[in-house]
Parts: sequence; C-alpha cells; structure tokens
Amino acid sequence: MGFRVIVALFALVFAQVGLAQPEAAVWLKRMSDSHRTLNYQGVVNYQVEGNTRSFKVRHVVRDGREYESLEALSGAEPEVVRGGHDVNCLHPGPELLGILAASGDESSSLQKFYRLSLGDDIYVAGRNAVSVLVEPRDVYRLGYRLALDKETGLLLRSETLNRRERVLERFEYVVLDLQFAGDDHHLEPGQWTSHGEFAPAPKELPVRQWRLNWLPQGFSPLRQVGIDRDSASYTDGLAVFTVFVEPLSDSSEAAADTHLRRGASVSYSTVMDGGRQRVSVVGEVPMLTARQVARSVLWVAQ
Amino acid sequence: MKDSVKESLSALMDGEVSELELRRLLNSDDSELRAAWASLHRSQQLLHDGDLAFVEMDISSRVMTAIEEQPALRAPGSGWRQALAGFAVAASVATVVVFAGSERMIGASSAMFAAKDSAPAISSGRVYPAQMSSATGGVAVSAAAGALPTMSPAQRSEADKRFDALLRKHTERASLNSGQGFVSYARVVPQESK
Repeated sequence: MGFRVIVALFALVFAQVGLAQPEAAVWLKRMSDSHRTLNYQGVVNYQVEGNTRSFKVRHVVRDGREYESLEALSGAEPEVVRGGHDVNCLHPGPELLGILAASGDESSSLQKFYRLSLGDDIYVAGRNAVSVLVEPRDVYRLGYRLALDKETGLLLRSETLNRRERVLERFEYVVLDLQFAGDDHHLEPGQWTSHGEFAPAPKELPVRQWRLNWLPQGFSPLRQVGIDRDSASYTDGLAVFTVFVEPLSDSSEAAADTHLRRGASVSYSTVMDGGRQRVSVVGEVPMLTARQVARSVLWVAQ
Repeated sequence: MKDSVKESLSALMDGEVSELELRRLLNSDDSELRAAWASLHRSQQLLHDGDLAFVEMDISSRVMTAIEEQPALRAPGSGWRQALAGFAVAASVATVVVFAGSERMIGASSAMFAAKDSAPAISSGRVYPAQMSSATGGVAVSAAAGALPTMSPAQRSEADKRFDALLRKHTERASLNSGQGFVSYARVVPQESK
C-alpha cells in the first residue's frame, strides 16, 4: 500500500515536471519571434564584471524589413546599427528554437540539452514578466535565467549563468516602450548599416582545409550567415560559438594556448598543424567547450 | 578549510582553474579537501544528471604517484617537458566521463542516483583520461577540467586584441541566431577606458 502511494506521488511529480517543460519551450519560441517582429524602443542595462553600461535600443519593422539600432548612452562610442534585414529571413538559431519548441519528441528537442522550467511571475521595466529558467544538462553549455514580457514574450532580462550559478552577464530593460512607431529620420538610408555584410548563403560550403572532430551534442552549423573558408559558427538554438582558423607566418609568435573571458564570452586559441595555423574558438559557452572544440580541429590533406 | 581553496575546487570542476591553483590543490595533503572534492563532484553530477560511477575516486593521490613514478616528467627542463607534465597532470585529474545519451530520463534521475551512489572506488592503477562513448552519442571528456595554461603579459595583451576582433565577427553572427538578438551587440561596443 505504502509503496503504491509512493509510486503515485512520483508519477504526479514527474507529470508536472513534464508539463512545465513544453510550456517553458513555448515561451522561448515566443521570445525568439517577438524581438524581431515587434516595434519597440527602450533602455537596456548591460552588466558585466561589476560594470553597468546603458544602451538605447530601437527596433522597427517597416515594409517587411527590420531596422534596429543600439546606441551607447555613455562615453563617445559610435552607434551600432543594423537595418534593412528581412523579417522573414530566419536564421538557424530562432528557426532551431521554433522547431524544437514545436516538436514533442523528447529526443530531438532543446529539452534534451537544457532543463526548462517556469519560475515566479516578476516585474521588469514596469511590465509583468514570466521567468524562465534554462539549465544545461551537460557541462558544455551555460545556463540562463530569463524574464519574458507576459504580453508579448519579449526578452526583458537575461542572465547568463555558469555552472556555479554565478551571473556572468546581465541584459536588462529598465525602460521599454512598445508603442514606438519609429521616426522616419531613423529609417533614412545611410542611417543604417546594410545587412550586406552577411553575404547570401553559398550554394555549397566552401572547401575548407580543416574540420571539427568533436562538437558538443545538439550544435549544428549556421549555414546562412558568414560561413567561409576560415571560420564557421555553430548553435544549439541558444548558445553560439564560432571557430576561426588563421595562418601563422611565424610559428614562434604564438607557441602556447591562450584563453580569455569577458562576461559570458570566452576565447580559446591554440596553435596547430605543426605551428602553421592558429585555431580560436569564441563564443558564449564554458571555457571547457571552447577548448575541446579548438583542440578537436583536424587538418584535411589536400 | 579555507574558502579560497573551496573556490579553487569549484573552479577546477568548471575547467577554469589556473595551473598554479591546480598545483596548490594537488600539493595539499588535506583529507578535508579530498572529502570536499568528492562531495562537490557528487553535487555537480546531481545537478547535471551525470553518472556517479567515478565519484568516489580520489584522483589526486594517484596523480601525484603517477608523476613521481616518472622522473623525466618531473625534471625541470625544457619547455616541452614541462608542458607535457602539465598536460599529464591536467589529464589525470580530469577523469570525468559525461554520459549525454538519451538513456537519461527526465525527472527519473534521482532514482538512478540512489542506485549509483554506492559505486565502489576504483582501488589501484594509473589514471588515464577516460575515453568512453555510448551508442547514443555520449561523448567522452578527456582532460576536461584540467588546468588552463598560464599566459605572459605580452601574450595576454596580444590575445586581448585578437579577442576583440574575433568577438566582433562572432557577435555579428550570434546576434542573428541567439535568442538575445541585437542587444548582444552591447558586448562588443568598446568601453570608455579603452
């Protein structure tokens, strides 16, 4: 009898865990859509290593194209802008999120690599928000504590956590205006950098002299943007890292491995191919992942 | 035990410990520290649904034995020897096997832990980096949580510049693909101090 009660209790607990996961996945899907399809402006604080910097963010969709700008509110830094990007142009990350959220199949979903759960309702930038906790299931990814706008799914706060649950960086809206229609001044040509730097996808992947011998499970290459002979980016739908390969003219110039961290971003560089090439892995992943990927590069004989 | 030592231990778990810290940890003959390592390892594995088969191994003593058995590696000498010794230490300490296969069930892990908790310690022999993979695509971590190489100031400043350039290129792609979107550009806007 007692045993049955325990079994029933366990079943109940697991059923609830099972329900919370898809719901959280749906929120993630909303998040990946909303920041590209909504009009908004606001101020975002970016906190890293005890420093906080504020940025003005604007995002407008006009005639099916996406215009956005990011302007540092302190110092004399240049405004970073991106514009004229087709809203319907999906990139593998959001696309992956969409597929993963839509799929109920455990084996092919984001939930295989992350444990998703919904937290308490909170209040961010004057708006009601739902909190989503994204915990990695292995050592190759970071965790995220997200606050999404209840009405639109827009990401209002994002904290990136390492395995010790230390916050590596935090993005947080302090002011957000979802009624922003965009003023025409900001849509004039010349005010935005074109999206042209992201060249159209090549029909075939360029011939590379190197390949990765190891990728953490669930990561797949980004084929649509900026893949070239000397670099390639990979995503699991949330995390992204890029592998760069550069020839070294003088093999003695970089004999040892180097590793750096800034917020959630790391870089790990190692010299390979008999001292002729430097491989660097840069991205928002644990140092361990960057190192293992960098060291897994193999040179393909020509 | 000092908090700084505990901190180093957790850093070691994350593969973010310096070579200096690693040596200090290995040189420490503190049984409390060993216990802390085992319990930390266990809690990390619990957090990450890992397999507990190797938890009870006290690796450090065998690493030290392994090093002492090899005078060539201990001799302070040419760079490659030191590098090799460093790697050997790192590789030995980091015998962490991660099973990432689909045999893991959501939520059912606590029952699995109970069964695995009493895994026997492996009693003797040299420690080699584990190389195991399951049919479902589990991957082996060799030299996983090892020490990171130390960098000279010159190397560091050079690496810093390269990091700036590569991070910018990376962010151009990542901002289109990660859930954070455009806001991630904040990472590459130079700071005033630079």
